[in-house]
Amino acid sequence: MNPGLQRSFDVLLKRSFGEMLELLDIHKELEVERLTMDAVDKHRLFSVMFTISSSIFRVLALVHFPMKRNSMDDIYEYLKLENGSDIKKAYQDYVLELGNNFCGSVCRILGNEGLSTGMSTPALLANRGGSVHLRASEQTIESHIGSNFHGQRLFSASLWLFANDGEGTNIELNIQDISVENDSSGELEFF
Amino acid sequence: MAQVLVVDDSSTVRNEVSSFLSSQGIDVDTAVDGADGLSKIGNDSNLKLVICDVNMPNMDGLTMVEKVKASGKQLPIIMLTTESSPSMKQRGKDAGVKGWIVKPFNGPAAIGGIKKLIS
Repeated sequence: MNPGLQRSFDVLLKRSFGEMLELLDIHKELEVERLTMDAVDKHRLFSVMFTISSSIFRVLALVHFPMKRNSMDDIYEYLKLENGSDIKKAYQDYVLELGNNFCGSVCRILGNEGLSTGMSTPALLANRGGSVHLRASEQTIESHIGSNFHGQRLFSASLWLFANDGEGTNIELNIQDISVENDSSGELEFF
Repeated sequence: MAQVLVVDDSSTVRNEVSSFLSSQGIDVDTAVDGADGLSKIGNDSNLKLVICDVNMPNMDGLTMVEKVKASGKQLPIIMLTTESSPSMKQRGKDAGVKGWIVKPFNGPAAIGGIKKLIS
């Protein structure tokens, strides 16, 4: 696999994850760190999965969410979800939308690199004592990242890249570790 | 008697957008997917604008737009979606969409255009 791709892929994950976290009121208090898949699994209770495809590669994108009973009240408070009978449903809807924004950021950043992509609708994966059994092989690149709030794991995310040609020799990515100042997200573009 | 219909399968987005528009004095109704949106558009002749997601179950947003246009209704529709690719925007233009907002929704950034469309 093209060795430069790993660096670009790590930056892609960091930037997309950062954009997702900016949706949270507490984002300035979050600490972000690189993770291994084993570290992700340790804290993951469920994940939202998307697939992103282009003509030369596919990307599997997962955002992992904690849902431990003893920490959920704190999480609902962080997210300012109103406590009520449907709060679990509201939380699930909220995290699906967060995942949707994460995936949208991945596609937008790839689009800025000239790569046209399509994304799937989200699927929820429950962690019932298992782990995500995807490990990098010579034909795969993977990257993982997590966020902590007051020392406790909040959300994390993973990306896997599968090159259609197996080697990724025709994938040219040079994603810079900077925010794009002229990003027009949220603005109304008239046709 | 709503002025704006917000169509999105995510209750988080429906609440966020409708709360913001209500705070601006705009009457808002919501629909959970394209089929629900189509039904509400057919039943409310006072609507001045529809804000619609693209990817939704039952009926996606662009199919809903095509059906509204095919019915002859002259109602501006803008898409609010994470989709930002030129090809997807072109599909929207071809379907008769008036504008495009890439999520996340930024109320202050979008309100000027929204008010223009409902005035």
